[in-house]
Amino acid sequence: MKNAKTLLFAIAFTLTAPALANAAAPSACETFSTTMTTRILNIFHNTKETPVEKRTDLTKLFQQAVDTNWIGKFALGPYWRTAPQQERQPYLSTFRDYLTYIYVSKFHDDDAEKIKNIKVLSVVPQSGDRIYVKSLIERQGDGKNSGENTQVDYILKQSSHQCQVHDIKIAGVSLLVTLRSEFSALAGSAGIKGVIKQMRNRLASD
Amino acid sequence: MPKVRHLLFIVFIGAMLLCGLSNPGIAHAQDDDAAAYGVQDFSKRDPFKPVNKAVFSFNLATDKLILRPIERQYSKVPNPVRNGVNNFLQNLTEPLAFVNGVLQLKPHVAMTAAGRFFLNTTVGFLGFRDYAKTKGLEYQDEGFSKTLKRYGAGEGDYVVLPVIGPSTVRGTVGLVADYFMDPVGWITTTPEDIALVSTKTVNDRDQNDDAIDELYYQSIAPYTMTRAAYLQHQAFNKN
Repeated sequence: MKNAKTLLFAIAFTLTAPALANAAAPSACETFSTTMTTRILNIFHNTKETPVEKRTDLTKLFQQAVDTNWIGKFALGPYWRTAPQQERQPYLSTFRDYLTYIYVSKFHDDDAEKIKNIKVLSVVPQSGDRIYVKSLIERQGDGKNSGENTQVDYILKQSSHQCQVHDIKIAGVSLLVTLRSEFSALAGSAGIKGVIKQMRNRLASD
Repeated sequence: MPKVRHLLFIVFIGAMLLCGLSNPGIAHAQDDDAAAYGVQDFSKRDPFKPVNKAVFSFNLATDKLILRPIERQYSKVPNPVRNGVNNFLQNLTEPLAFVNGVLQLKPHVAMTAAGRFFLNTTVGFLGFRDYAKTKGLEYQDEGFSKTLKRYGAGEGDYVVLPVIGPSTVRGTVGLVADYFMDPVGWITTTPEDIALVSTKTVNDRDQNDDAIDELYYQSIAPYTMTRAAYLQHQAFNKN
């Protein structure tokens, strides 16, 4: 359960690779998931940019790369299908901000520099145009998680025009499955309005 | 000692019964996507939910009022010192890992634990430095829960323990058994035990700071998110 801030944020942005791939072939996802790790590390180790600038860059990349609309709908489970039309768009836009906040707020420049390498271990096509990527984050330094390698898997989905992230698994904990459990439970008791309110409260509290 | 043995026996039998009766609780997915992405109904593994939720609320309040503020101060201590404390506490678990290695009939686990304890206690300055790791002897998280698993006990249902946090029936039984089996506990006095437990609590909070903050304070539904994350992580460790 050592979901270090650096780790979460590194994972999130490792996944921005496919967003930049505007090709339809599954191989595009495979290629970009490899090359993007280098680009992410370059941002982490960039000494010219301030932490604020890095955070801005990472926010843009995150929102391009991760299919927040799809994840948002999935997180609600059956409650999405019954959600009133007027509540859907506010929910999706708030969800996008919330998910971005969850990941980008993890960014800490000092920790980012301690990520030594992000290795892509395997890229395996699955059914439904999905691609399962296994990666390993290697750390260095004298921090509490120094020298620890953490397995991070993610699922990419190839649509007609781009490749986007649908799920992230950190040490076996799936973002998608966890969100589904969290959001559908709240939607069941408080409705979509309640979910939107809770997300806005979280965003406002920091 | 007979009393301890009696208690252990009861604990062990209890574990077997509870683990055997537990339901893995993997729900049928509601649609193709849910199945493809491995969605589970974690509530089916939470038959003690009313009690668990009450304990979770207690833990949340305890963390907010006591543990988190202490951890925030402790986090200001330089990393090398905090790492030293963590190593020291970890070294004290090696005798227990040795015992469980023997119980599991895994000589390499027992010998690694013994080797680590010897090296770290001597060359590693009473365990403050993890010297054994530099010699290729990695730390093994071995407790009685793993011993139960070795002999076929299932994970069991979800349980939330006071202060300690999320666990399972097997994890809880393992924890109680570890308490009685730990050779370190046999030689320490009560004040030393209190000091060790207090230090361990703060150290654990510090080591898991990011995860706890995320689950307790950033989630919109902390209880369900913690349960989902914990049970997935346990399943991952099983593989």
